[in-house]
Amino acid sequence: MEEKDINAPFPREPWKRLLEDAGDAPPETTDARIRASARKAVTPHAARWWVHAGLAASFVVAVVIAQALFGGGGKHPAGESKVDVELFDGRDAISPPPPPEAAAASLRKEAPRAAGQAATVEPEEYEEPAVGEAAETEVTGSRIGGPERERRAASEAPEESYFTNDPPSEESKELSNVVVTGSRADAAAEESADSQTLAGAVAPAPWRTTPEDWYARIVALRKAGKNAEADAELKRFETAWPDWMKQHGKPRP
Amino acid sequence: MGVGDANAQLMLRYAAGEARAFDELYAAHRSGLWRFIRRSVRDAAATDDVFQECWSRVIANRERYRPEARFATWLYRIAYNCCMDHWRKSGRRDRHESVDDDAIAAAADESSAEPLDAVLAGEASERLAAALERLPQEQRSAFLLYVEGGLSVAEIGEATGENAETAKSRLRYAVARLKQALGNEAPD
Repeated sequence: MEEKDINAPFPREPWKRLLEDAGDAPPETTDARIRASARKAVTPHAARWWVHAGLAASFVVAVVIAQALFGGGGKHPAGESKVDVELFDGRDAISPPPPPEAAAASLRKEAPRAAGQAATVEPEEYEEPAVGEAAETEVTGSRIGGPERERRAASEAPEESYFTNDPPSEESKELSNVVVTGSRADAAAEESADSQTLAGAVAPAPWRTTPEDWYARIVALRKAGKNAEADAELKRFETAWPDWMKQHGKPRP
Repeated sequence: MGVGDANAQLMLRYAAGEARAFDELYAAHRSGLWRFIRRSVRDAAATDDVFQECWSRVIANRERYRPEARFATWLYRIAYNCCMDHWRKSGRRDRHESVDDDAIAAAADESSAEPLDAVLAGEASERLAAALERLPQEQRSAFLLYVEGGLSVAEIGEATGENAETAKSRLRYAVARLKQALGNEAPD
């Protein structure tokens, strides 16, 4: 019997029995769901260590893949060393190759001085390109070291021909199309104990490949009666190979 | 008061990580709480949702429980709030004024309008359930909190956000109407 005070104005039990007789109860699925939720809520999180380990492993794998795909072995321009950045000068990388005329003019200008400068030429570490490959080498562009520096010098040099008084001949036009790197001039200077210069070795025409062929060509022109052309070619030959005829005992054609 | 409550101790043990304590709590209160929600929301489909939401809040707030009051008071306050949320969402909250002096007369009219043969044929519990359906929501909640939850008048006022006098008045009107509906079969 419940007390009839302010907090219990009438007995609960009779009313409760009437309500219980209705037989309402939660379904078993609801019971199971709530109990499972309660158990899950108090499950120690330490048992889920593998979740954290899996996340950490995934992160490491993602970083490795990203480095492999985008890092380029750590060679990203932003990550290059100071020396690399200095050598990989943007001007060299993006500047177009110098015009062939400028290169040829520079070559002509430097040819007589090559022997004198041989002692001060910087050592070249790259291979000397073949004559036929010269233009291609220029197009392919940036190589670290001497060629770029010499190319720049050629492009900055004034358009000053060594043969300014000569009429433009077919050979000179061919010569103007030739692009020669400074490495060839340096190599020629180093190996010319007899002060032979590089100019003779860079002639574009087949007969200018060697002084013998060039000399034979001049003789042929003379025999053919093309004296003006022979004289111009002889002048170029003597400029390129000033002592060759004397050393080989050849008469002046 | 709450510290000596066996249910409060179970709740504290569950909050400390003992899952079996919750099973005991749940077994002790599942039926009463279900009936309270079932008769409060008066919607069979919604009863399950509100019931699960109520226990979900118990689980989520287990570490915030303080045994300053009886566990039943805390549990039924949560249940009442869940019902309130349901009423707000469904827009079906009754607008009867619980302390209306005409409430008893209205209830008597409703009861007298009920077909006599249906009242006589039904079980007392069914008639009680039907009478509960017709009670204003505030009176019904006060009655169910008192009977099913075992809450005192003061605890009902605390759970519903009203003062004890209002809760007592609602409870008195509810019992009067239910007695009228049950007639001679009403408990004393």
